[in-house]
Amino acid sequence: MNQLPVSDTDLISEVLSGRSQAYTQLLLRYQHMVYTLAIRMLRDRELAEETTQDIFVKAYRSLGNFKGDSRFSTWLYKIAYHHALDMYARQTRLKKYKSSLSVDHLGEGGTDPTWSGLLNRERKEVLISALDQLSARENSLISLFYLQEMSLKEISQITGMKPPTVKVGLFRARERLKKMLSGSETGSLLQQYER
Amino acid sequence: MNAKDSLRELPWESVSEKAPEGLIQKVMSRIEIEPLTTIYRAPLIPLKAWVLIGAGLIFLCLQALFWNDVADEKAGILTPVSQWLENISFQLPEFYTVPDALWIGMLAFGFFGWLQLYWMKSRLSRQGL
Repeated sequence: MNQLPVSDTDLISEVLSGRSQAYTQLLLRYQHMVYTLAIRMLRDRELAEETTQDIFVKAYRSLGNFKGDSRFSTWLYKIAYHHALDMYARQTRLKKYKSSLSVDHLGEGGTDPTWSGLLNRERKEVLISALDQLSARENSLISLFYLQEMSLKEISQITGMKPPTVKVGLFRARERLKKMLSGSETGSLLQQYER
Repeated sequence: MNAKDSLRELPWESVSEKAPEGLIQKVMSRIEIEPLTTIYRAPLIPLKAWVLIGAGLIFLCLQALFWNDVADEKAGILTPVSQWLENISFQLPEFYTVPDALWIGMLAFGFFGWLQLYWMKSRLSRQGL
């Protein structure tokens, strides 16, 4: 028999009433999202894993402060964003992401220039390589907007920036990303789409 | 964002990362070491300090009102503490005899108090606490 999924709020209530194991469910739901944001901002797998752990522990300790006036994911992202930003600032030396593919090689893509054809490994690496050239803040904006499909208002709540600032930041990040992808197969497909 | 946002067509789901194996266990083991309890955070300024600050302010106010030479213009001397009650006056001009330094001090105290609360609130809010 199918069970109705338990809401985040119910799980939080369970955790607060002493059933810490209920937190596992929240971890299952959000671990990939938080890890993705951390890795996009920090560009270091080990550091991103450590940061993700810290974020979940921090969120657990602050769970009593969750008022429910926003979605749990927004609240969690707020903690994740600021913690990852702190970690980024603390790093004196960022390890460079070693992509086997540089942006210069993008013209050598596959033979299937369709949008469905973008879903291959090479194109994924092209996109990651371009994303890695953005700053941590730009990366977070792009990730939240395109990857997590959050609204400007939600991003504003998470980052603490005003909505117009988010909009401008996103616009700049998009332009930079487009510029980096231009000349590649992905970029030419973007241009075709815009026509 | 514009209606025709070409970036939306990028394979965003493919850049989504999977959290490493064992992440949940690691987090849960850290949590189980420190079970969730209401964490008491001692205030930066303890109650005793606030009482002392308050008492200091009240003393300054009283001193300014009843124990300054302006308050006892006729005698031209400092009003002794024992004559406080005799000097209590609700006449409006009395308030104008309060030294400027007191007003400035109170304004400065209020401003810095507000500044501290504002700074703490924004800092804690940024950390999601």
